[in-house]
Order: sequence, then C-alpha cells, then structure tokens
Amino acid sequence: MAAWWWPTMRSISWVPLAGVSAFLGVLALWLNSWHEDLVGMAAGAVAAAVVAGLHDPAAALLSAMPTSAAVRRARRLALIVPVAFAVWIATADGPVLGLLVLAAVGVAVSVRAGVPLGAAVPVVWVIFAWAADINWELR
Amino acid sequence: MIEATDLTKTFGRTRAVDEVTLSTGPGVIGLLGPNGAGKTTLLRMAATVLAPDSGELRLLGLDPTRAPERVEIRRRLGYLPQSPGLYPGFTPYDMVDYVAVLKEHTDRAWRQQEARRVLEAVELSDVMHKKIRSLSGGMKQRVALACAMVGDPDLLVLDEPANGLDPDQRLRLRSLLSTSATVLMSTHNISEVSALCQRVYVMFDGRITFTGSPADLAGLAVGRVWEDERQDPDAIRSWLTSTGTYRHLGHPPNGAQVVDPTLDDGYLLLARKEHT
Repeated sequence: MAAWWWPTMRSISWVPLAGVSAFLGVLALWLNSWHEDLVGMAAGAVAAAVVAGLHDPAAALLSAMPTSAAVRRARRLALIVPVAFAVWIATADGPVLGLLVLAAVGVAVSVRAGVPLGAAVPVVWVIFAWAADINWELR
Repeated sequence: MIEATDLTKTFGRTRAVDEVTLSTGPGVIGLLGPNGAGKTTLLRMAATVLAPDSGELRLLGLDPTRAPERVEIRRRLGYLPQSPGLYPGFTPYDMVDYVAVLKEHTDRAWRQQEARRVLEAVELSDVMHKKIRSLSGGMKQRVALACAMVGDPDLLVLDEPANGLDPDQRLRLRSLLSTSATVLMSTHNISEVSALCQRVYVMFDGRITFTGSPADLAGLAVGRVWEDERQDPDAIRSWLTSTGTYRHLGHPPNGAQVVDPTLDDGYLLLARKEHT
C-alpha cells in the first residue's frame, strides 16, 4: 500500500461530507420518494462537501514539496469521491453524471479561487436552477 | 546557492519585489525590512512557491521555472512559511512523517529515523506523540521548523522562523541554523541577525537597499549615535534607554557623547533615509 494514503485520509476534513451524509440519510429514511428539486439540492450539497474536503490547513507548509499541490489534490479526490458516490447512491440515488459534473466544476473553481468559493459553486448552481425553474443537470 | 537577477513580482498595481538582484553562497543570510517591504514575496520565490514576473532566478544551480528542475530543487529545499498551518489531529511525528512521504522518501525505516532526528533537533521528542492541537504556539512553530528540516536540505528558506519562540528556544534555533548549509531567513529581530547571519539584505518597498555584513550595517551609524540626559529635538530618532538616558540618531551636536552604534542604529538610520 502506498505510504501517502493513510496520512492523506487523516488530513482530509471529513466533517462536511459526514454532515451532508447524515442529513441525506435522515431524509432518505423519512421520504418515500425524492422530488427532482430535492435531488438537485442533494447533489449540490454532496458536490460542495466533496470540494470542501480539499481544504488543506497545511497547504502553505507543503507548498514547496516535490509532490505538487495538484498531485496532493488528486489523492484527496481519489479518497473522497468514492465515499461521496456511495453516500449519493445510498440516499438520493440521483444521476451520477450530474453529480460528477457539479463536483468537477466546484473543484476547478477551487483550484483557481480557493476552496470556499469552489464549494459554493454547486450550491449556488442548484439554487439558481431551482429559482429559474430549469433542470439542474441542464437536461 | 541563490542567484537572482532583476527579479520582479507584481500584485495588481503593487510591485512587491522590484528588480531585486542578489547572490548568496553557503551560510545564514538575513532579510530585514519593515512589514510590506516584499520579504515574504521574495522568500516565496526563493522557495519555488511563486514564479517571478520577470528577471532570472537560479536555486542550487537549477532553474525553478522548468518543472523537472523545480522538482529537483524542492527535493533539496526546506521551506517554513510565515503562517505554517498544521493538521491539528496529527502528532508532530505524523506531521514530519507525512512531509517525508511528500518529499518522496519511500523507505519507512528511514522516515522513522529522520522524524526522530528532526524532532529531537527542535526539542520535541517528549511530545512527538501528542496531538498538535494540544501543543503551544511555540511548539507548533517548532513542528513546522522540523518539517522544513526533513532530509537535511541544502537550502532552507525560513520566513520569520523565531515567531512564537521563547528566548531559550531562540538560542536553540540559532545553534540549529548555524549548522545548516544555506539559510535564507527573514526576521524582524535584529539581534537574531547579528548573532546568526554572515550577510544581511535590507528591503524597503520591494527593493534591496543594503547588502553587507551585520557589522557593515551597524557601521552605517558610526559617528551618528549619541547619548544625552535630555531629548534632542534635532535628532532624527530619539528614545529613552533603560539607563534613563536618551539615545539619539542623526548629526550629533558639538560636544555630544558619541557612542558605538549597534545593528539597530544602522537599520533605523537606513529606514529613516528610505522614508525621507
């Protein structure tokens, strides 16, 4: 097993994803079926939690490492994304591709503009889609 | 070790580093200057974290703008930023071990030995298995310093390494750094510079305005420092000392009791010159 995975796993803040998972879990137990708008909101929350997991408090200290920030980010995503998909399928069970696109856009924004803004993008998008009465997946 | 020619970095309308040229060999090099002088930006460029807008930079004989050479520099570089974040749930040992992993050290036994070595060097052996969240600010700073020292780097770039350290730890830091290959460090603490540095660069408004030894910097104020019972309104700077006399900087009046200048005097005189 590669030496990076366990410390990377421990360095990730799992709180956002755990919080969203717990909330969606309760909703899944409570609801018989998920309304399409609710699936969109859930996708925004899960995608935001994925992006939030990229927050690295030690980023400045690790900024001059031979292992680049991009590689460290990819490793984090490799650990977060499967968990997020498992949560998604076990709760809302919505379109995986839509969730993937939302998360990817959030990650892309976070690379340029920081994790808080990147995490806000999926949420803002699903709220906008709901307010404008358009499909959040643009189908 | 560090060769910079006309290095420039601009943020918006601000020229943080303005055509800086410097050349350093082995030893401890101090970077002095007021807040906002561009020290941190220069250090971030020297640590390969920030690319210059223009100018030429070579670190350890390599070009940091070329990706493969940048990786090679980073293998041989230790960097302590001004605000080094740490993982609160890690122990100092975990943190140093993770840094060793990111420095591509795959041999677990070597990493264990190295983690113990650097943590012992910063005197954290007794807390190496405690969570970082439970450590004091000075201890956290020493954990970050230990991380920078992993692999005994050829070049250490340290942004205010003595931040949060008590006097005893500062002394320990001095002896630690004096055995390192090349250290480029910024500091506000002038006594650190006089005790540690072979060479000093002073920055104001993004430019290097002084290069020389600590003695050369103090020498700028030779014949320009005097002490008196009363405050002198004609002095450039005056302050009350612990002995109850006033120390003055400027052109001493006739009959004034001129005293030997310190590094602070030289720096203050230079700072005054820059702001007039």
